[in-house]
Amino acid sequence: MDDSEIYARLAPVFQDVFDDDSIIPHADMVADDVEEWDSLSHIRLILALEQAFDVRFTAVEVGSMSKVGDLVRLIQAKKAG
Amino acid sequence: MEAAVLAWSDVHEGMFVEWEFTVDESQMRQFAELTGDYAPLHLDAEFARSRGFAGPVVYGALLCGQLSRLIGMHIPGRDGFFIGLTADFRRPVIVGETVALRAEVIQVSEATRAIKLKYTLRAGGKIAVSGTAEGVLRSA
Repeated sequence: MDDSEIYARLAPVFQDVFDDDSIIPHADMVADDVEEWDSLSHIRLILALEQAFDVRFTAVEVGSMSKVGDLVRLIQAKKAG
Repeated sequence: MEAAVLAWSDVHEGMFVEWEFTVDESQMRQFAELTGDYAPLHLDAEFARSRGFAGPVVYGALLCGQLSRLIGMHIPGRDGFFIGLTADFRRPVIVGETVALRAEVIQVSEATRAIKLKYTLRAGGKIAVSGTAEGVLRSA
């Protein structure tokens, strides 16, 4: 699964979780860039991403992600593995 | 009645709970007073029948109140909290009808300790409400 495919699938997940159709995830996006991205919506985002990509994250992996690009690399690694 | 106390290791996909309940006129009146929704469809049997229903229609939000019981008392239980729900209302429930709730864990997220359940509320054997409920388990 390449980056563009992941970003294409990320967008509707982000838009649904944050209830904002204008959100387009990009590599440098961080939580502070999205008004609705708080601790609870972060949980909902992880849950939705695990379902959308059929992957499971660990607490360490989630804690180590600081921007969307990190998330994309992690998904890519899991799908490749 | 005490809330279930679950450890994260107790939770797994496929676990489920189910129970039955009935909403009576007194509960409908209390719900109207709590919410300010006095729509006659819910409180006036004659009005409801004039609109083609067999009797007063149970508030959809009152039915969804059972999801609070699901999250707070069963899964995740005492150490959990609600983070989201969806609800599709498929057919009306009439006051006095027995409603059967079944909820099953369909996803667990180790990273966030979040739990997603799929539920149905059935009346007369048919689905009246269905959707998902999400909670988080945070033990002390």
